[in-house]
Order: sequence, then structure tokens, then C-alpha cells
Amino acid sequence: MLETTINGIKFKNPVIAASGTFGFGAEFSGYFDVSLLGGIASKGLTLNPREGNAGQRMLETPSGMLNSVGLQNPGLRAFVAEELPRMKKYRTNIIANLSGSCEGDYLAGAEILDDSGIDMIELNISCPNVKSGGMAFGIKADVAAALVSAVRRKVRRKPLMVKLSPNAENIAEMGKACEAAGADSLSLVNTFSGLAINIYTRKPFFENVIAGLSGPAIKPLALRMVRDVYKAVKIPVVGMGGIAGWTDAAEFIMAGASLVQVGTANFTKPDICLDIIRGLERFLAEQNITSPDELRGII
Amino acid sequence: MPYQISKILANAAVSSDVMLMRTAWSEKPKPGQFFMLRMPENSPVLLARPISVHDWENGILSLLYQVVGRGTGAFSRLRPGDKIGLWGPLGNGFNFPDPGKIALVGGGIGIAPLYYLAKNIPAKATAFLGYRSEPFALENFGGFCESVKISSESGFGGHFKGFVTELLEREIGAFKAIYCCGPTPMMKAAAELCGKYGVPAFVSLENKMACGIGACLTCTCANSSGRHARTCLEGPVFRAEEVFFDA
Ligand SMILES: Cc1cc2nc3c(=O)[nH]c(=O)nc-3n(C[C@H](O)[C@H](O)[C@H](O)COP(=O)(O)OP(=O)(O)OC[C@H]3O[C@@H](n4cnc5c(N)ncnc54)[C@H](O)[C@@H]3O)c2cc1C
Ligand SMILES: Cc1cc2nc3c(=O)[nH]c(=O)nc-3n(C[C@H](O)[C@H](O)[C@H](O)COP(=O)(O)O)c2cc1C
Ligand code: FES
Repeated sequence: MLETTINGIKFKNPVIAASGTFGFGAEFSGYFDVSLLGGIASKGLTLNPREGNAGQRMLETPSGMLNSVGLQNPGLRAFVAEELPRMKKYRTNIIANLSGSCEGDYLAGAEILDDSGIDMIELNISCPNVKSGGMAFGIKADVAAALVSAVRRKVRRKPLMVKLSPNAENIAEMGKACEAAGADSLSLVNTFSGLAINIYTRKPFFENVIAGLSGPAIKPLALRMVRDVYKAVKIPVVGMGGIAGWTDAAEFIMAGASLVQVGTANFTKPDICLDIIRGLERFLAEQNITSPDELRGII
Repeated sequence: MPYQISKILANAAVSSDVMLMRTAWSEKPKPGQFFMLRMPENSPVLLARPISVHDWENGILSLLYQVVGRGTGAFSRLRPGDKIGLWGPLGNGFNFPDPGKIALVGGGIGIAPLYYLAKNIPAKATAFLGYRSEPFALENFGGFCESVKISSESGFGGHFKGFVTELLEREIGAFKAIYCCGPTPMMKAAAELCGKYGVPAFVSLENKMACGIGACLTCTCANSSGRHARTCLEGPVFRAEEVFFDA
């Protein structure tokens, strides 16, 4: 009933565990059968291993959280050699979240993933671009489009989903630029840039100063952006940002999302994705709807 | 075990800002392990909070916690019969391979996991418990320890006035290992003392955590190999010499 196909990939339901919030899946397998998910997006992966940021990495905020993990990950080669074989045992789609700090690293990473056993690439353009003083690739549409078209030339076999940053200058224009540059689908939103200050030490709470805001606090903003992008492009849109229950997921579908991703909510209850899948099933049955297609983009 | 919603059996103050909560949990945890505790639905507190096993007996889990902020503040207002969400037991816990003489060194609320450790350790340990002022949750330590030494920074009730590490230093040579939990400066001081006297030390870290199960990478601590280890999974108990206390 919940089955949805995008970019030629069949998802048994539209619920994907979001990048950076679900590890490599194994962490959650003691809490529910992760094969029941529509898909799992891996932790953000870079060409070389990264140890991530120093200092505090997390702060709860009203209805949300700030994080400053800094892309700690084992690197793409270790991912393909060690994590991916384990992930492939789950009967669900494996989406590799490709991150980087310069175009060269993204391209080398894209080649590795294109030859691997993953189902889809999610290109994370929210990463700081070393070349332009740390401004993320996903802020200016022309910078993002240049990266997407270069990566597109390397990715021949796998569908290429581009994950947009809500910090983009204009989210609809950004969506259109990435579509024109060759994206097969778009996912949004990544975290919003935020700040917290320790008033007693008079210093930023995070060593990196800026951190990423996620969770229910961002949901109305994310929902509006998903609708804006859905209306601006023809390729499928994957929605996320603050989804904490099945009603939120249904709202994202009505705003135009083909699939949804669940991030921060995984930390509040390890099996929350299962609750969301079951809730959507019940809702469709109650409403006599045979497919989420009937709800998509009705707003 | 899966995520569970459990009924609160008791939740009462044991001192001005420390509470003891009891709830059902069927499986026996290891000393030094912890649970993620989450307010039931519709609470403004979003994330769960890590709380150590203070005791477990016949399917009843006891948690000793200090009310310091929004999360623990919300826990403190729960009443018997209310529900709490939890998952665990999590983390590596304390390992005690050596049957030799062991010291348990706790500072403030850091004594919480040491009680369950004292109860389950093969040989009776010596407890060094340090408090800011009035001692709390002492009742049963005596029964499971060879002796209990108390310090109070204010000298409350005639207890040794000063830091718990001062008490420890007087006897440190007698121990094969120390197990320590408390505020970072206190663990750092204890670790330095153990380094000076060549006694192995194990410290239980209390980093901020979101998931508790190794997925979010927000709880990491810098260790001596230059890596960022997950406190929730590779810890919370580490060999003291592996930990960079200033990072
Ligand atoms: C493995 C483990 C086991 C633990 N076991 C126990 C236990 O058994 N008992 C126990 O009591 N605790 C234990 N803790 C600690 C406990 O988890 C924390 O005290 C708890 O999460 C605090 O949550 P809170 O919402 O009440 O406080 P928070 O609101 O998170 O605040 C905690 C403290 O940080 C300060 N703070 C918050 N934000 C800022 C800021 N921006 N700048 C500066 N300071 C700030 C607050 O003032 C407060 O003093 C354990 C922790 C770990 C990791
Ligand atoms: C701790 C944490 C780590 C994250 N790591 C990544 C990452 O590596 N790559 C990425 O594209 N997004 C990452 N994200 C963003 C999420 O995938 C998601 O886009 C965002 O959190 C919004 O959704 P939510 O409100 O449901 O969490 C991370 C989010 C959190 C909270
Ligand atoms: S708390 Fe999430 S990895 Fe440790």
C-alpha cells in the first residue's frame, strides 16, 4: 500500500532513516527490524576518514537540538569494505550520503560509490567549501550547480539525489539549478545554521561557533521549503525536517514529498520509524486511499 | 531489549536536589551501564537523558539522579503510577578482572553507579565518597564495602573537610585499581593521583548524549590514540590514561 518508486528504485514504504542519525543501521537493529524501513541513509561519508569536531557536539534547544559533529566517519573505502556488506544484509535500500570539502574529493568519492553495491547516492552539499572560505556549497545556486554537474558526470549507474541546505539563498532556485545540473531527485532539508552562547564564559557553546539545528522546531520551515521546491521542479522530492510522528510524514507528502526522512526523532525513541510506517498504513486504510500518490502535492 | 514504557514505582527526594526513582526492568544490567530515560509523549523535553544504574534487584531498577536542568527537572515531577520511556542497558560498564583490593571513588552524583558496582564486585571494595556538603544515598554502601570514607567540602557533620582525592591519597598504595565517577575536575585529579602512584584507574564519563546507542556521534571524547570514541558505546568507562580530560 505504501510502496513508492522514485528514480527506478522501489521503496516498500516512503520512510527513510536520515543521514547522521541512524549510524549504519546496525545500531538500531536491536530495537526493531530495520529491514522494514523504506531505506537507510548512511552517515555523511568523505573520501578520507574524519575524526570530526572537538569540544561539545550537542545541545538541546526548545523542541530541537543543535549538533556540531563535523562529519566524523570512517572514509568511503572503509565504508564500502566494512559497513556496506553489513548494511546489504538488511532488505532495504541503502543510500550513501556523499560529503566533501572540495570538488576533487566529491568526485573521487562519487566514482567509488558508483561502482559499489549501494542503491542511491545522496549528495550532501551542506558541507563547507574549503576553497570559498568555508561557505557551504549549497548556499549559492551557481556553486551548487557546478558541483552537481561535475558529480553527475562521474555517476553513471546510480541515481543521484541532491540534498539541499535550508540555508540556500533561495530554495526554489536552488532546486531548479540542481535539477538542471543533472540531479535525479532532491532531498531537503539539512540542518539550519544556528548559534548558542554560554553567557558565563562569554564564548560560543560550540568550538565551531555555528551548529546545525534539527528536530520539531524546524518542521514548519522545512515543510514550506519542500512545497516551494516541489512546485519549482519536475524531479521527485524527498522531504524531511522535524518529522516526529506519522502525521508530520503525511503533511510532508501532501506538501509534495515522494518519500520522507526521519532524523532527530530516532534519538527520542529508537523504533520511531516503525511507528511512523504503521501510522501511515492506518491513515491510508482509514481514508480509503490505495497509494500515497493520491496525497502527494495536494497543497 | 526493545524500547519500553515503564510505570514509575517510586520517585522521591533523598536530598535537596537528588531523587531516587524506581521502575520495572526485567533483565539484570552490568554495573557501570546506563539507561536512556525519556519523558512520556507530549513533553516539551525532546531528548532522552542518560542515567546510570544505581541498583537493580528482582526486576526493579533504581536510578539516583540530581536535578540540574530541564530534563532531570521534568523527571523530578513524575509521580508513582506515571510512565517513563527507557532503553538500555547501554555502554560497556565496569570490568573487574583483578580480584585484588579495589577503591571506588565517587564525587557528588557520581556515586550513583558505584553503589551497584560495590554490590556486584567479587571482593569487598573500599569506597571514597566526596560531597559538596551533606552526604546523600549512603545507607547501603556500608553493607557492601569493607569501609566507607567520606569527605565534604564544607565539612558537614564533622566529615573530613576537603576533597575526596585527599582521602584517597592517604591510602592509594593499598589498591590494585580504582574505579571513579564524578565531576570532570575530580576525575582528572584522581587520574593524576593514580598515574603518580602507578595504580590503574577506570573513569566513567558523563558526556552529553542524544541517542545513547552509538548512532549520533555527539557524545564522543578525544582519546590518547587521537580518535574520537563514542562515550555511549566504547564507554562510558575508560582507562584513565586513555582520556584527555581537557579536550
Ligand atoms: C553515562 C552517563 C551516566 C549518567 N548517570 C547519571 C546518574 O546516574 N545520575 C545523574 O544525576 N546524572 C547522570 N548523568 C548526567 C545526566 O545525564 C545529566 O545531568 C542530565 O542529562 C542533565 O539533563 P538536564 O536536562 O536536567 O540538564 P541540562 O538542561 O542539559 O543542563 C545540564 C547542566 O548544563 C548546564 N548547561 C546547559 N546549557 C548550557 C550552556 N549553554 N552553557 C553552559 N552550561 C549549560 C545547565 O546549567 C546544567 O547545570 C549521566 C550521564 C552519562 C553520560
Ligand atoms: C547528529 C546529526 C548528524 C547529522 N549528520 C548528517 C550527515 O552526516 N549528512 C547529512 O546530509 N545530514 C546530516 N544530518 C541532517 C539530517 O540528516 C537531517 O537532514 C536534519 O537533521 C533534519 O531532519 P530532522 O529534523 O528529522 O533531524 C545530521 C543531523 C543530526 C541531528
Ligand atoms: S549518544 Fe549518540 S553516539 Fe553516543
